[in-house]
Amino acid sequence: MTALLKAAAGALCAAALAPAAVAAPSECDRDCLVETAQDFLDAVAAHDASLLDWNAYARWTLNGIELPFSEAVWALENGVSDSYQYIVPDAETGEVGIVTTWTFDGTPALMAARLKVEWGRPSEAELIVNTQARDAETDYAALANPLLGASTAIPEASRLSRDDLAGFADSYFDGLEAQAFGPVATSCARIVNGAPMESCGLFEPEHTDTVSPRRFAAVDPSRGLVFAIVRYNDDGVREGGAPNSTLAATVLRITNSEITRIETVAEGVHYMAPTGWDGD
Amino acid sequence: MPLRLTLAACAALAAYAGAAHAQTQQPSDALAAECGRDCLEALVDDYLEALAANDPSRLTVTGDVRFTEQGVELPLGHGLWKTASGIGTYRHIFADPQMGQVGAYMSVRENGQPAMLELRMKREPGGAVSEIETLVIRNAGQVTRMEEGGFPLPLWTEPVPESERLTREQLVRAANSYFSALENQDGRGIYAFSDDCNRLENSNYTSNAQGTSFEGSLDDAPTYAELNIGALGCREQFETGYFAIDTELHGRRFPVVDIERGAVFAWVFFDHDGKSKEITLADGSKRPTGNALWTWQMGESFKIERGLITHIEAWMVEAQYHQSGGWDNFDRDHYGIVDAGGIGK
Repeated sequence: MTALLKAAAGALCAAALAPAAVAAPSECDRDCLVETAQDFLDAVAAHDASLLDWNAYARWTLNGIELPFSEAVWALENGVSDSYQYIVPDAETGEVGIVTTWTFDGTPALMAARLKVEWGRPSEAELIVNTQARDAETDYAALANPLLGASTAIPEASRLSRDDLAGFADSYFDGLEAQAFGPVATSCARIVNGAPMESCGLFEPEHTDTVSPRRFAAVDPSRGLVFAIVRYNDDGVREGGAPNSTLAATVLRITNSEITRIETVAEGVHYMAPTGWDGD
Repeated sequence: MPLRLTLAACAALAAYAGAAHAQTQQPSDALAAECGRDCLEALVDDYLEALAANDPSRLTVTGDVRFTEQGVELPLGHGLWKTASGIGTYRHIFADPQMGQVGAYMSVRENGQPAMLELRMKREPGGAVSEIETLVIRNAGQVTRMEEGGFPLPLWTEPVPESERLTREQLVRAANSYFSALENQDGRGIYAFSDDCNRLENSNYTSNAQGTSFEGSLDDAPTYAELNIGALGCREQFETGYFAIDTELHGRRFPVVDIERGAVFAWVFFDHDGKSKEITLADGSKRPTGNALWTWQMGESFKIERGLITHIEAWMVEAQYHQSGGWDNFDRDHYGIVDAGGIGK
């Protein structure tokens, strides 16, 4: 990818990355965000939201639907497994991304979660959950060792800026829309809902015609990670199917100016269904 | 009547009527005179023809027309408008000329595959359509059954004798009583069904259906076959208390009331909160359930005769738990109607 293209992509992402004009201070550094993520997982396992010290205006969504803190995840028997789990903290935005295996209401499941911390307390929780009951081909309980290498630090001299990292992710999604290869390494590996895909160059999910909205919620230059929440949309025209959308957290690892790993937790939703967080 | 019940009834009436809302639309004989049943049914024909041609410009709409598919607002021309490939043979229409509303279940073709389209339209004076609400059920087998099975039954289109017609409010109350009777059911409510009541859901009879298998999650509930719920009549089913598995029926709306035919075309969500892994039936026995966290999104219609529900037809899709229908706030603003969950409780 040329420097010019990277710069353009970075500029395109600037708006998506820019903090809101009146954003509350996070007051939570990298270690604090990781600790908050772990506290959140403990609260999920105990199905007790009150174990976290939420802001008074906190809200949460499950697969795009806002629910009370007494429903769903907070009311059903869960268990969190760390056999397949990683955390993407972003101290600059106060957001942290989580991907983990767990059992949801007794069913093996994958969860991607985004938390936002303000005033040192969580104020937003966005969960995308795919259960094994919906995706019977993958044994979530047996998943282990995520591909991302999320804990492997990138040498400081090789690190890209937040904008550049988000630019790579944005270019990848642009490539899906254009049915063209994005800036992926030939050795790139990709996992969707725990299942290895043939390559990173195939379209995700297949038949996607737009990837919108896109949010680059947590970017970690020290690990080369971008935790993005997007909606893949298929209008049903290209492949002769029915209109449908997929709400997803897609995490990309970028090393040596190439995308080397892509992992997605995805849940099918109604075509163009609101995400609950994009003003829709 | 005890004071508590009186107050509850008054609150329910106020919720339904939205009496304090300045913009509440009232039934209009003038509107009905301008466009009666035939006119509204012709509007449905126009819609189907435009849809099959993938050309919304063939439909006369207001500048601010609002369109939803599966409860999601889309620009008119998107969703099924892009993938529709033909018109099917099944057609079941409900007309409410006094409100300019029409509802319908109709089979269509989507990229060559049979699909069921649930449609509600609001026609404004002069003829332009201002609201289009759709739900698409993509199950070729179910649609084919409707097309080849002699549906809709003639009872749906038979007019109720004028002397026996119920008011709009009575019809809505009757329809809503069905939803209220289902929600956290205990088997001891008032279940106002006729003895020959029957219910058709996604082309399957789910009452008086000995030997007929159910499609969908109810099959998975371990007690369902044991109770043989499907073989019971409408009232007998409710009297078991089995439908306690339906923990909330939210987003209840009754936009099309066909007074002449004693029918109501409603929208609703059946939520299953997953909390109850065991239900207590009316006879005191406890049964495990297959209750998981999920929601049905559906259009459901009722035929009501001489004060009793006599037939039910519903078409549904699975939705995210507690999804919104996309019209609740709109209805509140335009018709003064809030969720009618309180009516009949």
